[in-house]
Amino acid sequence: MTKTELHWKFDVSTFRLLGRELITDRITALVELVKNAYDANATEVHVEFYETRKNYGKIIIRDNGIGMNQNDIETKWMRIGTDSKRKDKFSPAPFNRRVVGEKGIGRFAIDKLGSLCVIETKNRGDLSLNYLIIDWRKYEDKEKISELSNFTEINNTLIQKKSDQQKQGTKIIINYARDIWTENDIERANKELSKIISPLQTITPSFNIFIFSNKYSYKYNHTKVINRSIEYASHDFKISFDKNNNIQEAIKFDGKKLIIDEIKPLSFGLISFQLYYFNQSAKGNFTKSYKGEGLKIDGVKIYRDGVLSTPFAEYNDNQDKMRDVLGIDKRRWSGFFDKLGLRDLIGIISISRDENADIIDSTNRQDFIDNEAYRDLKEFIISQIHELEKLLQYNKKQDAENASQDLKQAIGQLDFFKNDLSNIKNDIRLGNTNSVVQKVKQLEDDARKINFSIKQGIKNQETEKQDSKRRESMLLSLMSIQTYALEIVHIIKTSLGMIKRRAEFLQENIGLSESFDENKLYSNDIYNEINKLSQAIDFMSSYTKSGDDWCNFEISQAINDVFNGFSDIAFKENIKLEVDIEAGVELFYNQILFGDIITNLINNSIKALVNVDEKIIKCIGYSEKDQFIIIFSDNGYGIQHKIKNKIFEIFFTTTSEFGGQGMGLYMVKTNMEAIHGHIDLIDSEFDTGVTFKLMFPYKKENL
Amino acid sequence: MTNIHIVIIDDNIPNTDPLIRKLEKNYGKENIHLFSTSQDGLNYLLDNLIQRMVVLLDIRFPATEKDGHTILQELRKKTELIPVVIWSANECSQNEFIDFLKNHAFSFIKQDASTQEIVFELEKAIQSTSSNVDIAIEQWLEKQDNKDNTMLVSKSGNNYSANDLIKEIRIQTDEGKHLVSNINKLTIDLLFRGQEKI
Repeated sequence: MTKTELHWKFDVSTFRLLGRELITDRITALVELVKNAYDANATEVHVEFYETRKNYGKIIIRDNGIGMNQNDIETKWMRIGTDSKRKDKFSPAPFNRRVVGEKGIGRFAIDKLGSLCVIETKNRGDLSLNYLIIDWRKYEDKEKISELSNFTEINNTLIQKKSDQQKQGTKIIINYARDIWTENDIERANKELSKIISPLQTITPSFNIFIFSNKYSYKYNHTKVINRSIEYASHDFKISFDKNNNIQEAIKFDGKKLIIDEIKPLSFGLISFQLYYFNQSAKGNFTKSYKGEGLKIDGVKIYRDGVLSTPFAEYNDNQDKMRDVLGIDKRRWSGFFDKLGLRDLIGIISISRDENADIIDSTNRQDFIDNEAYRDLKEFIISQIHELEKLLQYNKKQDAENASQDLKQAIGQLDFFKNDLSNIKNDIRLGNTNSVVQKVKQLEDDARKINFSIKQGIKNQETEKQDSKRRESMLLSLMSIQTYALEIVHIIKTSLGMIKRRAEFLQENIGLSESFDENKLYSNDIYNEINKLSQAIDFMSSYTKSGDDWCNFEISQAINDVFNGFSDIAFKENIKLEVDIEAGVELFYNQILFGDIITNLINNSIKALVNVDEKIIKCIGYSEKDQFIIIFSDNGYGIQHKIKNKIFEIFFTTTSEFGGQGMGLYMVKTNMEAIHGHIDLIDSEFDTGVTFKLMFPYKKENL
Repeated sequence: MTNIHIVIIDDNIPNTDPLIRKLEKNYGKENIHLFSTSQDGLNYLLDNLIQRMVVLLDIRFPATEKDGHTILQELRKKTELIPVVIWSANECSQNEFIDFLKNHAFSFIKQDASTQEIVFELEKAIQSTSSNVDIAIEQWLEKQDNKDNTMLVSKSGNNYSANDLIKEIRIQTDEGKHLVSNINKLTIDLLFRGQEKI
């Protein structure tokens, strides 16, 4: 009997497949690498783009975090599926940040961004700087030769050089960038990166990201990434103190608004306090634009000398488990509707060791020691929140009263008017002239107008009020039946005319040898025109179906489905498809019509790319205010300036030699118009080719 | 009589269309002018008012271009002598129809008409031009020997040759319109007095 040990083999393509599952797009890749820097206690990360408008540019991500030594590289970074990140929920002391990076997917992120990567990294105190060189091109070569494709058999070079002992940090240099990074892409990266920056920089140590692009240096010259989500707060206030004059500021509701009052210091010492209140829609906007771990809408926390003092009211999905040491939520049992809860507020109380010595941490670090100072502090905070509550109650009442008050006022005005009228009528009775009659008429006319406009105004106001209460829905409507009928008649009549004249010609000249060329041309034309007609009919039937095909669907899913349908052609034609759509946005619309829009654009691009070397079709999508934006580009032969106005016209085509019929963009435009959307031709993202901007408005209910 | 020029302003029709071929055959290739941009067509008309022309005009153009209504309106500011046949895919509304009438459209023909029907319509338009005063004068002038000699001296003292007169009439200057109206008055007067033979 013989006994042999067998090992699992892990081939390159499996590894990369895994990577593609984990990192779906390059923005995510970039964000993951920056998150790693955050987890490594960096206070600064620089993201730099060099020559990325051309293919094969360079991307550098460098941070001043703790870096890696050789052991870290071998046991953590190079090991696939390491669980070190899962074990450590917090970054090393002294920052103890809550870890935001996904477990060990940074290496896949690098593969997504470029093919040759050099990582320079060093722990503080170490004598040597590590250079790890990962050349994905080697893996790609192996991938092609199937028999030598074990992932683990490929060597990566590690070079160590002497360096300054005090230095620390990691620098990832990615060469041969796989994608062209346009200004638009960098802007998207900026937007996504901003989501991991804390919108409140009072929290120390802060974490900052800077973006540089040598191509777009006018916009990105080591420019700080800023998160403005705190601005979504529907109400906020800040109070501080004046140490020299021994004054504590406090907020006070004066019957109409919040004012800052100056009071004597209380038993707990001088403090500053910022409070942000988020109503329902503000909350939605906040969570959409801030995905970091540093700040949640989860109540009021106390920071001593810039460091979170105790895990007060730490965020917990289970509301009951959230510690509410200040007793903010407890109050809600009495008068639930008027009291603000932890989930509506972000509050930051700043205290210091010197100024607030009587506020003492308890030994279990779950609360402060219960003493007079602490009780007073709690009472003060609650009282401050209560002042804000008074304002909110007042606003609510005010809103409700406004409409009826306007109405009353209007009726009052009309009464005056009626008085004027009867005065004039009296004049007449007293035997005054014709001119008075004229005046009366004029007055009556004016009265009618005023009456109408007041009613209208009140109606508008009410609608507006109702509207502000509703959450935006995405109900879209089809274009009017009349407009639609005109469109279809135009298509069909034009086409029929073309066919009729050609058939007429053939009928007269069918046997004549001198018109052989024309006969051939016109037979072809007839064939093409009939194709157009069938397309028009399909277009029409998609509308007849549209009634029952309305549903909620996820935009990113729908677009990806369409692109997947083209993956075979793209592979055959060697076209790189790049799709990156913000996930989680739903649209209530006809999915078929929506798909048609994307399908038509892709079809056009494929035709425009026939004679291009490095073919790219790119589609990005994101939600912006009250609409969904899709930027669709290719690097094909583009559109000449002089015909830019015409491309959306029916039967206009620049790709007739590749089967273009001039229906595609027309249908896209019509489809977009049907939902009150827009499609515009904007400056091309690439050096050649076209870029379309499609805007899908989220429809307001009252439209 | 001078050649008739046929001006087609339509953004869909290709220059290989049987209609274009037929017109070229009937009226001579150099006399057929196809414009796919409405402004280009209008410019051509305005630059060549001195020619005898008929127009086949589409209504619908890309949103960024002038539509058939505007083209006709702008042409009519300069002259009413050029007959314009409206060639349209859509039925026009009553208002549109009135607008065309106001601007003296010659006739309407549908986009799905046959070549024969269109040629027939254009031929009618061409015939109409030969009953115009300018054509009558032109025909009369054809018989004259010296078209550049002064024929008429206006009240303001300007000298006009026969060719000058045609030009003034075609581009519809005040002098031209005045002359046409006077000739008409004179003709009617003579006819009613049974003195058509002067």
